[in-house]
Amino acid sequence: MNTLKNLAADLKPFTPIEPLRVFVAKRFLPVLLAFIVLSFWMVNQKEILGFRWGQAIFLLKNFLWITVALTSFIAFYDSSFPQKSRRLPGQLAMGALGLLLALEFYQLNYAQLPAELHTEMDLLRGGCGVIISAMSMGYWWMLKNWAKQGAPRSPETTGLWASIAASTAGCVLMQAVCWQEGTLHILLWHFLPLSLASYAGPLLAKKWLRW
Amino acid sequence: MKKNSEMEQKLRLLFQLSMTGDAFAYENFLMLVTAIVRRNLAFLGGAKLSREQLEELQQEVVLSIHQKKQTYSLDRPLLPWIYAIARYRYIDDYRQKKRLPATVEWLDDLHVEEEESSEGIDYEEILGLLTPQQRELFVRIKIEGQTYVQTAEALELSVPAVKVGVHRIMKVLKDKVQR
Repeated sequence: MNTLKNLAADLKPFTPIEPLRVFVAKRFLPVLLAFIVLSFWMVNQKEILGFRWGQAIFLLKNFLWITVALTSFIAFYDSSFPQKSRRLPGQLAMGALGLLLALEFYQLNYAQLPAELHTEMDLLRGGCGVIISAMSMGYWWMLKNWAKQGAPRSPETTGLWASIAASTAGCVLMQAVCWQEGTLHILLWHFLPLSLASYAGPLLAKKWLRW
Repeated sequence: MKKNSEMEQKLRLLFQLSMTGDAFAYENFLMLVTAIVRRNLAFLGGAKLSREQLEELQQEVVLSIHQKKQTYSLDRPLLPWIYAIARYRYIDDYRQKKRLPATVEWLDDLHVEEEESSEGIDYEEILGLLTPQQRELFVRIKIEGQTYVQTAEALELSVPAVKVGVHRIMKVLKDKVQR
């Protein structure tokens, strides 16, 4: 009883965690907008983009990337504080990501693979991977700092969702403005940073997000 | 079901009052939470938890709820939030005990056997890892065997602050032992 009295005596007015809609409006949409502006500035390929808008596959892929970004962001939010688990966002993110990968592998030209691989081992082509990694690292750091104020029950899971959300936000924009259309290019330089981040994120989060 | 929803409403009301800094409402909130946590831990731990362990764990959970009260989202139910924290602490405690059984006993027995402890423990090294305030807490509680309340009074701190301090010391020592 004495402990409770002391805890109550320590009380100061406080504000609870922001609801999901506020969180998305404050921390997802502005970043998405900033990424769009940044990507247009970095890869000035508006003509190609205009031509692509007519392609159904381009629209489908971008829709899937945005779905992964948004749902993994929600899954990250849910995992950052103690609450009854909501599985749907995570399942949707994984489903959309799986579909994207399946589409890329379906379109892959296996006969030309060695030649394409040789072409892709070019520093200029690898630029997409560098840009996605750089953007996602900054965003991941921001999400990690936010999650630190929360109380993740599983820091690894929170780190994983933060990595997927951050990398996917980068991928969404590079997917839209990247002038390379080869499937191998997408797999190597767009998916690879995402995979690496998904591996590193949980390890780093385990170290930084304990409470 | 009805009982749960009544409890939920009561807790939410008290929590909302607590957000404005109402200490009386917060104390009532914590009293209700303590009872809920105790039942929940008894359910989770079953016969595996002794009365003392249950008491200790319950205090840990209430302390965590106090420290992380800002992580409750008002648009979600409150009881699952409490259960989630209790479950997290229970699992964390279970993992720690499983991982470091010898260490925990070793730390608890520090003040009992001088001869035994002098074989494997370097007091100078342990104290060297701690800040002056932590050192003071460690000596009073783990070596002199003072209670939390006695230490809190002597150092003019609140009891939760002493508990949190001891918890941090244990973390520092466990990290050292694990390395």
